[in-house]
Amino acid sequence: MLNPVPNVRVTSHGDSDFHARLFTAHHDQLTRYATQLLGDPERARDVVQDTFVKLMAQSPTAIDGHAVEWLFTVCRHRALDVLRKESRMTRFAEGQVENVTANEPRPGGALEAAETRATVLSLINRLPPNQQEVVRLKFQHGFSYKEIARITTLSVGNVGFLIHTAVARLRAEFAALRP
Amino acid sequence: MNYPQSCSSDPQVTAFALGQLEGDERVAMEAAVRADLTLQAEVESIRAAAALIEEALAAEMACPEAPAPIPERGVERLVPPVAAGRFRYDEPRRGRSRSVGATLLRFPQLYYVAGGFAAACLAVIVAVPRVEYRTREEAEGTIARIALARQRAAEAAALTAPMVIYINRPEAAPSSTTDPRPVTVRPRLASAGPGPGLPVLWKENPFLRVTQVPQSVLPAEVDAGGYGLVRRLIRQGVRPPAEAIRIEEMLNYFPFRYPTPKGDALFAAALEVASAPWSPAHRLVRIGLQGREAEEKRGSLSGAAAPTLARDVRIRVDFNPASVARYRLIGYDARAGGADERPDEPARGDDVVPGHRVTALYEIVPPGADEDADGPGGAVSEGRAVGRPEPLRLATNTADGARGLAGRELLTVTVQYRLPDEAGGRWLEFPLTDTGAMFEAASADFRFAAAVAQFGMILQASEYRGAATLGDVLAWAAAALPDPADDLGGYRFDFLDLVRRAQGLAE
Repeated sequence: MLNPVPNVRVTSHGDSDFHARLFTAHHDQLTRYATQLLGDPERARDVVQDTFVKLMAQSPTAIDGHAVEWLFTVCRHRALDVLRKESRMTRFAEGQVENVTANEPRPGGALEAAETRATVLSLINRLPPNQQEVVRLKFQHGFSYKEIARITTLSVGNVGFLIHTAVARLRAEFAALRP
Repeated sequence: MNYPQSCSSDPQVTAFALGQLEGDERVAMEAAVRADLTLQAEVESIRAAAALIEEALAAEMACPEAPAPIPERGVERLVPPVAAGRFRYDEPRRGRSRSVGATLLRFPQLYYVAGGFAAACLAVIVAVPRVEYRTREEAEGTIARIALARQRAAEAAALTAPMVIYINRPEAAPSSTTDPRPVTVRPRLASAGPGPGLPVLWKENPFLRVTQVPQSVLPAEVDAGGYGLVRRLIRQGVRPPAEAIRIEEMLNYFPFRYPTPKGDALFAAALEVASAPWSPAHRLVRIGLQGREAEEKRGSLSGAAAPTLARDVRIRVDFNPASVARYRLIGYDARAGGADERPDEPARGDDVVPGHRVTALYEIVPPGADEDADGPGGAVSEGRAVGRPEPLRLATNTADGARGLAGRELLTVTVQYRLPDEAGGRWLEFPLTDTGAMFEAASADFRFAAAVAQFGMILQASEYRGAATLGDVLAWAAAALPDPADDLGGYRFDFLDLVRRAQGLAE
């Protein structure tokens, strides 16, 4: 079949390398973030794809220096959009507690490293969604409070409070695991 | 468990421990910590906890349950090649994922048995001692299968004969390690109608006679998820089945630049009409609704409830019988077992947020244009309505027909809504007059929307798809690419890529 548009490049800004590097470096990270927001890897994949589609249209100069933050911000917006459309915003309602995803009883005694990690993860997964989100942005994706504030449109103080509350709770739970 | 009292004390201490304080705050806290042993212990404890959290989350990143790593470089990653074989990826992963001794492979298996048995979906998680990565195609294939299987859950309940449904993967040479079950080709249920004994799972919106149904109601809120499903399927080399195509969702995936409301109005309507490219004797109407944007203020979208622009919003279209003989709302096709049957008179309208945007297309048969081709699903052919004004002046030729219609009101769009804090309803009316424009003269947004609709109709093997091909879709969409600096570009290039891939699949 005749192809009337030969050689259309995916990017319109010429610096495909910039976009490609961002994609390679952050695709998995973003997918995980979106999965956590949406609770669903299928939708997360779509949201991340949309995010990178949007990225294609960004010129490197416009977002250079804060590109990763930009990706997370756009991804989050899109994810919230999806949630809103599905009336699932309650996931992120303030003060929501005990999003129970781990049913196993809390183990005691000395734990092997892998076991410890699994336990810590299950404890993190029990945090309220809004705390989980900032905890992951901080400790999994390495953003600063300020960056997290911009991504989530929370205030820096609010981010600090959420992380503090989450860390305090986790510390208490870690302590309870030790003999 | 004598944990220090101060453990829930001060977010500033946590911020300090995590290196998030700056300037004077940091200096002050440093001094305080130096002077206070309890505080020192607190800071150490926070850092230890942070290290544990980081390590656990890093390990989680290293065992991806959904994303597979990217085997090559390049933007083309976004659009991985169809039918690529299994790919082995040996480059060590970046980041904090050093300690991976095993990775998880998931083998989701969808058993989908109807006729007395419930559909069952089980995923077997097997730990293997080596790091082995699957290709993105495989991962996406899995996801697409799950999505479709879910969609069919309701539909399958309606089936009476036992039958196993799988989505066919063309390159599938099921290897015993990754895919232990047979892959069965799912019967296609396109316009040719269902096979013997199979129920109709999908039915297109038909043309309606204005004399019988002069009014059409649209939901104001349309999900855009349908495009993602189509995209996933095509990228894995599967032609999406007709019932998986939701043209209204595909259309609303794409952003369009509609004029923003002026003055106090909450909504503006971008109405446009031109000849339907797939059926030039027909008129194509694009209804674009744009809600007022929220005033820019940081923190307004703080993760909790999004603000509401208007409640109970619905869009009503009244056709002028003098200019419209029949009309068809494109998309919104009926689906068996779906709870989302639309758009007939929703009990209640939708609540929408600031900046809300929705796009809908109607195909219109003007009086006198191919009256004989009553079309499938069309009502009784009762012939031309007696007393319809000036039917004979209109020739079937497009240009003549359009000239005859030019300057005449075609339809009126009424947006009904309530303000969030008001009980009474309000409405805005937007009349549309046909200028007789040809498709080629229409706006880029209009032509692009038409291309998306046509793409959907071709994939559906719609009875109304006309003579146009995927090549036409590509040409229309390519001619509707925006200025390179416009961020609509990413979406539209993505669409072009998808149409090209669809061309590569069996017609």
